[in-house]
Amino acid sequence: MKRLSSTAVWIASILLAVLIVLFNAAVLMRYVFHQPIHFTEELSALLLIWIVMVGAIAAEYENQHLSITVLTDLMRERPRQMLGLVTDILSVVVLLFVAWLGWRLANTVQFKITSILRISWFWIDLAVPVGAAGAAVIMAGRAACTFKRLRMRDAG
Amino acid sequence: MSLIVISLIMLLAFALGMRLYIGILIAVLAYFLLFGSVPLVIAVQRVVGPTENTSLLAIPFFIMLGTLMSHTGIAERMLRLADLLVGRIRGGMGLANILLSTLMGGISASNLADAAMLSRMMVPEMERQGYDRAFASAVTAAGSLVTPIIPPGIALIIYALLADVSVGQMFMAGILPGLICAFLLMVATYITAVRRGYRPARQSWPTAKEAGSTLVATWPALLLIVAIIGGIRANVFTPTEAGAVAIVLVLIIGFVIYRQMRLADVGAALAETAKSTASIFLVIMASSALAWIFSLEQAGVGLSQFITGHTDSPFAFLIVVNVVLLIAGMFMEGTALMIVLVPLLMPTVRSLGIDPIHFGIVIIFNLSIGTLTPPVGTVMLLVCNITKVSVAAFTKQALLLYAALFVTLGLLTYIPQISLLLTR
Repeated sequence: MKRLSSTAVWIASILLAVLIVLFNAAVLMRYVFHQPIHFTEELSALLLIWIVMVGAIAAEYENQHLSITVLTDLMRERPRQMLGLVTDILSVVVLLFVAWLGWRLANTVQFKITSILRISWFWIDLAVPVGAAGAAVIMAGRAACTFKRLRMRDAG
Repeated sequence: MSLIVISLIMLLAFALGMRLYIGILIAVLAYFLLFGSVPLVIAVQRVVGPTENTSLLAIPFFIMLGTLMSHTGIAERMLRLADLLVGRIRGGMGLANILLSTLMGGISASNLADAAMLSRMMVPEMERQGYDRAFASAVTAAGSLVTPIIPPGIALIIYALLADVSVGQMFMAGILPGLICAFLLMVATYITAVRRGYRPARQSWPTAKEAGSTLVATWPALLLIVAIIGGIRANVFTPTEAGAVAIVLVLIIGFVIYRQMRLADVGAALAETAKSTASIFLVIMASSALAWIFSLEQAGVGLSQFITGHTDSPFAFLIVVNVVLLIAGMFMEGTALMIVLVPLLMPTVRSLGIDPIHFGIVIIFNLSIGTLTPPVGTVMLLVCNITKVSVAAFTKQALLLYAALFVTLGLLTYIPQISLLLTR
């Protein structure tokens, strides 16, 4: 899990750095060399979706996603852990479903090509199944941990 | 009917403590599965949609800028400037705190990042000067509310997309409201300081020499603010490009001018930004798919007909929106709320003749007050957590500051010119 998350952070960080360089290059080319870069918009859309989806895996690992915990914080520890287990499993199901839909979408649009760089949309939409499946793996791992902890307490 | 069902499903998921984006996704998928006549793949396509928008790219850039800033040493130097300007007045350290938030707000886009940095930096210092710790925390948290409306602000960027206005105009619109908010917060802090006998932070007004040396130390940071806001205003670059250029400028300031930054800081900032971007964007993406469903069902038009059937006064409408949002903002995360509600309310806003830019400033400020109120005020919880103050003590000490925020909200609501003056 840790390795998956840190690999995800690495990839997302590099893509983000590329994005920052790209936009600075765009400004520089426009003002200094009077030769605007035409593909900025296309490339940035490709980079952004990958940053978000791959970053989501790491954010899931470090529990950085937003949620409202006012109500669950009121519960006792054991029922709260059990509820957490149920909602985590449900989330895994939702994420895997989204991953499958994303895969289907990527396949549907594979012959659609962006206008300037001529990249297949497959590579853009592929980020969805990759990120959703990765986040699902992290969540499933956490659910397994919670389950083990709950069972150990029952045994002990 | 279908909208009520999916909204209830979503609220249930939130109540169970599920991730916000997953809760919204469940609602979206439920709509497609139960009521939709469109293929399910479209749901994912709707979710991916917002990432194709270049102006939203400004969000990761400005998050990165804020994260980098805490490593540059800009904040410490800006504090010297703030202290120079208001330190001599009673409650000087509290006033300087708010002024610092305002100055930093001109570079940073996220009030959470600002509040985290400033509460570590300012609260211990204020406590040392005899302030109550809970009051110091409240001042810091309230001061950070200036950040979302002063450009650059994440909420301004998202709203521009939702209401179909330019990001540059939203940025300009936020300047005066941000300054007014800062001023009123400083008045509230001053009143408290006089009542409790908090002393000024410094004994005398600064000498010309002192002022000179502070300006020398702070000019790169001040230049950065001018470059961001001025560059956008003068159409030199788009807000997104401004963010990217500002990152390079901050790197130059950090490495070459102040020499406080290390390469590892940049790596950490990139990683931090990638994760924050992911968590913000997933909410944006899921919510826009939900907003698309609401527009498919013509919910906005229906609501507009309902509201205009009852009143044709823009101000009555704004009062109702303000009250509803203040309450909703206490329980819900602001970004998601805004993304779903703005498209829903836009037809009414237009038919009542309210300027969408003015409306945007009102709701953004309104929702940011929600980050300061119990039970789910994100900024409040963060600051309380850092300074180890109880929410009860915080709320009690913040009463006068809340009053200042409500007065600001009232002014912004009823005087559209405050928001519109600089956009012309």
